[in-house]
Amino acid sequence: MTLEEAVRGIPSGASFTAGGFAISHQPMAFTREIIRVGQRDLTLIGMAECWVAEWLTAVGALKRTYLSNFMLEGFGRCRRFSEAVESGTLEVEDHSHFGITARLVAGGLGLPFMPIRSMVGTDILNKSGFEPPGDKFHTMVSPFGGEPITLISALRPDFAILHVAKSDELGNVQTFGSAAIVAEQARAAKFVIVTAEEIVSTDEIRRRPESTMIPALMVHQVVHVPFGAHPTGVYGYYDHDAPHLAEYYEASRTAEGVRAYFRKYVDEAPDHATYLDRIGVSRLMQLRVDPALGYVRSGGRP
Amino acid sequence: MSSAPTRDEFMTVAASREIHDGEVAFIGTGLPMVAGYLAKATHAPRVNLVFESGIIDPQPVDLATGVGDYRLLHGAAQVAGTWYALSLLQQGKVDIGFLGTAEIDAYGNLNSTAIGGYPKSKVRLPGSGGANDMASNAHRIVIICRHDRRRFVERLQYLTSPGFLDGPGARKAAGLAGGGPVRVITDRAILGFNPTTCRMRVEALYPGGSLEEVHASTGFELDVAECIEEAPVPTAEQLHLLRHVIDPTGIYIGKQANA
Amino acid sequence: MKIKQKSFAEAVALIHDGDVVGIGGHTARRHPMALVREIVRQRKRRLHVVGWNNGIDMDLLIGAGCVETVETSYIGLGSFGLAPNFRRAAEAGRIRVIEHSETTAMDRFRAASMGLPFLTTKTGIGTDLPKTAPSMREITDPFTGGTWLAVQAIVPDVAIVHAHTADVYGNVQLDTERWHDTSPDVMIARSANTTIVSVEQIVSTEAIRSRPINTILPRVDVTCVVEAPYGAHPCCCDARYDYDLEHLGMYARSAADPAAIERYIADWIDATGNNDAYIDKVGARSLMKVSLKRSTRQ
Repeated sequence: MTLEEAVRGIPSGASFTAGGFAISHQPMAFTREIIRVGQRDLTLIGMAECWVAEWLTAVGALKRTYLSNFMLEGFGRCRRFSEAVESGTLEVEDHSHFGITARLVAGGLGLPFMPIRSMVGTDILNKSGFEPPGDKFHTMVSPFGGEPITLISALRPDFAILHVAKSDELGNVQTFGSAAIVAEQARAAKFVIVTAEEIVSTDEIRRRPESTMIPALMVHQVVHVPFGAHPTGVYGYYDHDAPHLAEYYEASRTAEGVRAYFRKYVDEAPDHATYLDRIGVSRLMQLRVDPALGYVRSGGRP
Repeated sequence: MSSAPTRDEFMTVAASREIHDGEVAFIGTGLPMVAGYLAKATHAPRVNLVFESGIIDPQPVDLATGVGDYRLLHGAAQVAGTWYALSLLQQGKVDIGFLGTAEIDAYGNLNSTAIGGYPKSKVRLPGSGGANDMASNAHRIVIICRHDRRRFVERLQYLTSPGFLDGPGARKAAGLAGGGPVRVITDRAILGFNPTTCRMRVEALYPGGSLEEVHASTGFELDVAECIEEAPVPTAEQLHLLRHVIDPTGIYIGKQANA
Repeated sequence: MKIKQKSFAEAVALIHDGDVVGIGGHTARRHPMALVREIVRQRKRRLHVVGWNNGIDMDLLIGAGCVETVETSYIGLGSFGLAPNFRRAAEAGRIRVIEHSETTAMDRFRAASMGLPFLTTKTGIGTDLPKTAPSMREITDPFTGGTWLAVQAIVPDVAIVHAHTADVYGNVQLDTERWHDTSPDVMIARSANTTIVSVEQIVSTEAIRSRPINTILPRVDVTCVVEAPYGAHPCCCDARYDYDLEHLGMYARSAADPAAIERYIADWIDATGNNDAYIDKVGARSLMKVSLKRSTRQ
């Protein structure tokens, strides 16, 4: 299974959720391939996969998004995302982090809803985006004890696109560090695509079965994509590429700047290996994290 | 002989004093992160710092630029996911949380979602993130932000995170478990909330600050506590920790103008 | 503590024309190829290169005209056949060849690393090996009267080896997954007056101190360390990356032809100028293909 084959399996109009959080483990190689293949009218169910949201909004691939928060941590607002909402070309349905995750958890548990204490009393529930309020939540009196309780409905994305540290060929996933809601996304989605930094032997997985975050029975496709999160990072492998993220952030001031960025890194880099050569293997090597610290220490301190 | 404390340093010290030893503190990016580490290094060594990225009780050597930054993971006692970290809030295990905001009203309700219309807005902001979860569920909330009329408004354009909603009893009626905001720390004053009316009131001023300046920067009628205190002055030890240990390169402190 | 990290240019400047240079690695495994390429760039001359089982490392140095004397048990390109530059130079009498078995070659370093003048072995007795090797003499065991070969210690002017990690102070480690092969490189490194170690990654001192058992060379044994990601390429590097068979094949074809080896050196060594540019030129597709363990996590 190549990256291109996996991406082409996603039809226009599909709904999807992507793994990652801020500068960590977002499936950016997959996103560049979506930009190249050119799907349209996608629905994103997003919890902090801000770079995926920003780029797909920038190229007009997203029609609407269920979201809790898209913010380029370390830089500023998602300019293209904000502009699309402000111009009415991107529809939104807001949540809190816990709220949107609860919807995925409900979906993953095969339940119609999840009771929740967040979002209550606020415009997150009182004002609706594109979703009819009755589809999103109900308030009721708890049958146990009589307190008011809100029920938030389940969400089941068509696809989950998750970039992880290791997978065996079967799809057993072990990953490092803080995984955001990768496990919940894998459970909720109907079709799970995993891109992995390393494909390891199944023996390596089976030596530490308690470290397996997603078992193969939940995974439909596995693709080996080294540096697949660049310019975000992968814990235990490489840090985020701050100057490269800044390059996009600067370019995002204008539509022309954004076009130039994608021309350079998508149009002129027709496959992932060519993209990595544009960045330069030597530059990627500088991003390798320290084994004990977990990040790249700058400032010359040993 | 070190230079006089800046407003950022006053604010950070005031925020750190809100954390009591042994508590569970939910921390975001920015001054709250510095305040959390200052508390841990001084009067609250047993504070358990928790982050929405799922990082529990870390011991960073280098200051992180965000809650997703790998610097923050160093020495963590546990790393789980976002669902895990936020469920601690809902269960009532989090004593205190810190929030920033784009708009705030007299009842401590916050807007980080949209200005000028919804869902099609004049200015679309990032969205709740974990802010609503913290405001809904933490036992105490402390808000840290700049103080101006654009921010301190009579009526929010979108209510993202609940303070006291529309007044006494409203949180309970809505079914919110957490206790609501207890403090607002700005670059012009330290404020709290009148326990009877739940409305924001001035509680302390910085050296050189005045009530007139605070009222002039506030777009709603602001209560004033019976006794206005002086904001706690950062000690030499606190300044040393802030300037030379926790944030030596001034990632968060010093970005804003001096007092 | 003294900072021992240097650039490639600074490190290889410690090698002088005519030096005896011990080279680590064996059978296309973890030869210090980035350092070898820098030796070629700096056009060192009349070197006496010593190893225990060598290949593209020595063949390239010979092809670049850096070598006067070769001392090892084997120089070949494994499945790609004989080492063409070595063969041409040896047959034309342009280099002196000192023959060894793997045991006797290692014994030279082993003795020196133990501070001994020589070690004894039965290997080589009755063969032609001692004829070209002034370092081998037959001796009589004073206890039993038996015949043994004494193999003299060698103290190279410089040793160059490649390892996995080091901190800036020069504490060198191999990964836990090192597939048992550590001792020859350690002996080579310890035998020399000047020891240059290239490593895949310079790491924090915290990383070194959290796994002390992985240290193969404490800083007292090391003159300087150089950061060289993929620094053994096209050789393999234990669990980190496999042989680059495409590149080795391309090298073998180039080395077979005296004009082609000039072009190889021009394109891959002189034109690149340093290890960063070299690995950029090898490219992501090839390097990701050979990469095995890429996580840096301990």
